[in-house]
Amino acid sequence: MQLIQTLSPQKTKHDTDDDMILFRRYHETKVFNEDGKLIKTDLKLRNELALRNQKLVLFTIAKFFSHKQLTKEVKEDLYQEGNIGLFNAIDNYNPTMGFKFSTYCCWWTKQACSNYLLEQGTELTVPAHVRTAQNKITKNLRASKQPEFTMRDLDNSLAPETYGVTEKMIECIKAAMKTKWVHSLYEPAWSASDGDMTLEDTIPDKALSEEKFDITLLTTAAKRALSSLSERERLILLLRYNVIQAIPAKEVNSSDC
Amino acid sequence: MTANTPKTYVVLEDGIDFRTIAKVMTKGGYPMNHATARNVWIMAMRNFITELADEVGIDITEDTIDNMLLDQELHSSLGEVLVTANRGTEFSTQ
Repeated sequence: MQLIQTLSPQKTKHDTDDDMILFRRYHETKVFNEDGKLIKTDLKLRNELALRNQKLVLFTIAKFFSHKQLTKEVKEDLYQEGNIGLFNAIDNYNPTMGFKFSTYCCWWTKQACSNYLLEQGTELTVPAHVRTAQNKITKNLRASKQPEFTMRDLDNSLAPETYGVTEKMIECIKAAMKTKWVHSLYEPAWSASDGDMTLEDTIPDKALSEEKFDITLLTTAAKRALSSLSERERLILLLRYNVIQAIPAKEVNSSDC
Repeated sequence: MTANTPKTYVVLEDGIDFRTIAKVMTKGGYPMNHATARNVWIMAMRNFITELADEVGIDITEDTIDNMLLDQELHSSLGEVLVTANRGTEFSTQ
């Protein structure tokens, strides 16, 4: 709590007014294309705004993610992800709507960090909307009835409406989360639709890499090419490359004697 | 071979020289001198490369084969391929 108070971006009214002036100026420099996508901005102004509000990222991480047991590397990554969120917030913030930037930025930073943590948790990459649904399910069920609810408790027999998401989305979430709870390589892979496929079948076989396959093909072709040569040519070729050091004695036909 | 005649083959780092090859071949019942050994080797290389290109499905010209015969790197890798290809055959001494 002390850390949060220390990191809390306490700005004077003068600072806030300056920020708002900068945001208004930045908002005016934005150029959008026909689809409403931002194509051009004043990058110098954007960087200045990011530097002025960088403390918000630290504050958000300290407030929402400090209770998690994270390694130093993950924390550093989280800070970077938070900064990406901050840039998104700066780009999308509209000062004319009357909200404070800190309110808007906090959501973007939090979302960027949550997404990163969820992505770290699984081997399978899932779309952002599935991750959001995953958060939504956990949050709803923990808050209402089942405080000890985990994603593992997702039940096929229950209607998807129970969780407030579609059936397909539940399948996606289960597939993504399954990588966390693998007990055996012989467990069936992702869903029943894969038939008899086990997790072992999904692991790439390094022994059968593409390179090795090419070498095998080349060796087979070389064998055939070698066999097409006359014996004398073949022996000299092999001797020249030091593949063999001696040759068997030539068979002499009785008719030759 | 005069000084102005372009070379048609390269000296191999780990290979056996043509005089030794000629001796081994003569001992094995194929009498020849070092020049014959060299000529047969060049012919064998030409045939081998042509056959290999056919197997792999590449069109190859005589000029390409000439260039290949002068490529030191190709000879080094070809040696490795031949070692692998010769494993388990009647001439294998490995």
